[in-house]
Amino acid sequence: MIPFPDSRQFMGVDSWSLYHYTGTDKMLFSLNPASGTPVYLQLMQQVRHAIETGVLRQGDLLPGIRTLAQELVVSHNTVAKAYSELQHEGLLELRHGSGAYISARRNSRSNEEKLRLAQQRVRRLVESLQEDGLSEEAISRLFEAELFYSLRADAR
Amino acid sequence: MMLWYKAWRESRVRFLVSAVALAIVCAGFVFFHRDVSGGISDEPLSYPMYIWRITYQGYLRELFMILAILLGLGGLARERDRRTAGFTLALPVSRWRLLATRTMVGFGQVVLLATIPAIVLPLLSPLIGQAYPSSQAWAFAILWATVGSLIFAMSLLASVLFAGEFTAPVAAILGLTAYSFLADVRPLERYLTDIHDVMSGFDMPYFEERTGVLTGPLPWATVFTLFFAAAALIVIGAWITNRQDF
Amino acid sequence: MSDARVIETHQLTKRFGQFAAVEALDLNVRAQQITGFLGRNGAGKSTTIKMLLGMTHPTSGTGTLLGRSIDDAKENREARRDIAYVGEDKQLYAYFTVEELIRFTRSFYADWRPEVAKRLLADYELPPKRKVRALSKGMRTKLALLLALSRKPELLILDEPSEGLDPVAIEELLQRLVGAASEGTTIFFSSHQIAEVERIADRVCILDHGTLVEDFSLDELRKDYRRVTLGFATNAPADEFRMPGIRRVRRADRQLSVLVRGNADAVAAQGRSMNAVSVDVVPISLREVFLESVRSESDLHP
Repeated sequence: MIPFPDSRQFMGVDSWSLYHYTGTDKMLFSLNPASGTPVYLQLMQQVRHAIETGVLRQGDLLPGIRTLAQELVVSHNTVAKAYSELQHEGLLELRHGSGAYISARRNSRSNEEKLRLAQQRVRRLVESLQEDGLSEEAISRLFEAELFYSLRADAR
Repeated sequence: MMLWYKAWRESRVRFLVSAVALAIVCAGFVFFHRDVSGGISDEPLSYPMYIWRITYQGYLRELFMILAILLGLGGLARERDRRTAGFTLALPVSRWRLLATRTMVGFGQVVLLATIPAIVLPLLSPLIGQAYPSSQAWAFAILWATVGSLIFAMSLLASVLFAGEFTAPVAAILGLTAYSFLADVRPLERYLTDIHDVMSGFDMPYFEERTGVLTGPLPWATVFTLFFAAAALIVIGAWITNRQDF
Repeated sequence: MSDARVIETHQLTKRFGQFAAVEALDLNVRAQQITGFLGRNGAGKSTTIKMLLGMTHPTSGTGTLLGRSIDDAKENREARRDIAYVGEDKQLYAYFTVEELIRFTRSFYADWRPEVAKRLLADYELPPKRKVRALSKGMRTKLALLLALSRKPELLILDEPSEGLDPVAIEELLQRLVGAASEGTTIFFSSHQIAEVERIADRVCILDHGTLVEDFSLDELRKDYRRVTLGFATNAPADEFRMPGIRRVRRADRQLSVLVRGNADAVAAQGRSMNAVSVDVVPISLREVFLESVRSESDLHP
C-alpha cells in the first residue's frame, strides 16, 4: 500500500503536529500517531516502500531498536514489533548489538514498473474525481473507507 | 545516614539561633548582675539566689520552654504544606523511621540547649568576681533536659496533628498553658506534676528556698516518669502518623 | 512484551466522607510497557497513584505493586526500592543545594547510576551549588526528573511530568522515557498532554469520576476504533442504535455519528439498511476518544 498522505484537516487544530519528519541517516520516517493505522504498521509500510523503490538497499543499516525509538520518540515496543515482523518477512536481519540490516533482494524491475503504473492510474482517477467536484477530503475518505472494508473482508 | 542530615538541616537554623539566644541572655544576666539584681529585688540577693531567680525560676525558663516548642515543629504535616510530602513518602523508608530520626535530632538539640546555662554561667561568673557552682548548673541542666524533652514531645505531637504554619505551635503553647493551669488547680495539683516547678525546684523537696540552692539527690523517679511520658507522646504521634493520608 | 502485572488493583476505592475520589478501580499495568493514564482534573489519577505508593490508605479494595500488597506498609516499602516517582508537586527540599539533594536521594537506592546523573546534570544545566529554593519551576521539574532518571528502576511512575517544561524539554523528556522503557523500565504516567501520550504510550487507561472508563492499547485504538457518520435524506432515525461495540451515538437532525469499537462495517451496513445517503468511516484520535469518554451529555449541550 502506497503511503497515502493524510489530509484530514478537520480532525483537529493540531493536525500539522501529527506529522513527524524525523529519522536517521538512512531513512526518514513520516509517522502519524492519530491515523487509523498502528504506528508499527506505518513503520513497516514505509520500510517496505523504501525497499521496493530502491531508497533502501541490500546491506543498508537501520539503527537499533532503542536508538530508533528515541529518534522517532515512539515506544520501543512499536519499533521492536515492526522490526520483528519485517524480519519475519525476510526484509530485515537483526544483528545483535549492531542494528538491523536490509536483507531484501533488490526488487525486480517489474515491481517498480507496477508501482509506477499504479501511481499513474491513481493520479488519473483522482484527477477525474476532482473534475467531478469532489474535494480532496472526500476522495481521501472514499479510498480509506474502501480499503477499510477490503481489509476487514480479507481478515475474515 | 541521610535522614539524620535532613532532620538536622531542617532544624539547624532554629537550633543555632536558640542556642545563641540562650547564651547571650545568660551572659547578659551575668554581666549586668548589679543592675538586674537591683531591678528584681529591693534587698540584696546572694549570687546563686540571683541566678536562680532570673534564670531557673525566671525569664530564661520561659524562653527555654518556647524554644523547646519551636524545635518540635516540622515533620510530614509541614511537608504537606510545602508540597514535599510526596517526595519524602515515596522514599523506601517507613514513616516511623522518619519520625524517629526527627525525634532523636530534636531531642539531642533540646538537651544541648538545656546545657547552655550550665556552660555559660559557671564560665562567665568569675569574670565579674562571682562564682556559680558547676554542680548546681549541671543539676539544673538535667532537670531542664527532662522537662524540655516532654515539652518537645508535646510540640512534636501537635505538629503531627495540626498542619498549618502557626496552628501547631499555638496548639502546643495552649496545651502547655492548659496543663500548667490544671497543675495549679486545687484538686488536681496533687496528681499533676508542675513541670515549671520541676525545672526550678520551687516547692520541691530537693531545693532549698532560703538559699536558692539545689540540695540532696535529684528526683530521679520524676525524671524517669517525665521521660517516659515524653516517649509515650512520641509513640502516639507515630501511631497517628501511620494512619494519616497524604 | 511481558504479561506480568506491575500494577494491579482490585475494586480499589477511596472515599473522603461522602465523596468517592476513586471507585471500584480495577487497574492493570503490564510490565515493560509504557502506559498512559488520562483523566480530567479531579478524576482521581493522583489519588490512585498515592494509594499505590502508600501515601494514602484505601477505603476498600486491594492492590499490588511489583507483586507486593499496597496496603501492607512493609511490603509497600520494599516495592518502593525499585520504584521511581515524580509527583505532581514538583517541590523539593528548599534548604538543600542541587548536589546535596542528589547525594541525599542516591543514598536510598541501589540502582543509582552516577554517570547518568552527571550527564543529566550537564544536559539540564542545573547549577550544583544552587539552593533548591532558588531554582525556577522548570529547573525544579528537571531536577525531580533527574533524580528519577538517574536510576534504573523496575517501575517509573510520573504524575504530569511535562508540566512546567518548554516544548524542547518535553521532547527530550519523551525521548528519555522511551530510552528508559527500552532498558526494561515499566512506565506509568499521567498527563494532560494527549499528544504526548499518543506518541509514546503502548497502552492507555482513561479515568473518569474515579472509575476506569477505557483501557486499550493504542494499536487497538488505531485499528479498531472508528467514527461512522451516517447522513440521511430525511430525519435521522429516532430509535436507539444498539449494536455490540458501540460506545457513543450523537445525533443531529439528519445525521448520526457512531463511535464504535471493532464493529464499524456492521454499523455501516446497518446505516445503509436504514437508507443512509452517506456513510463515512474514519479513524479516531486519542483526543476524541478521551473527550467522548469523559464528557457527559450535559457538557455537550449546556
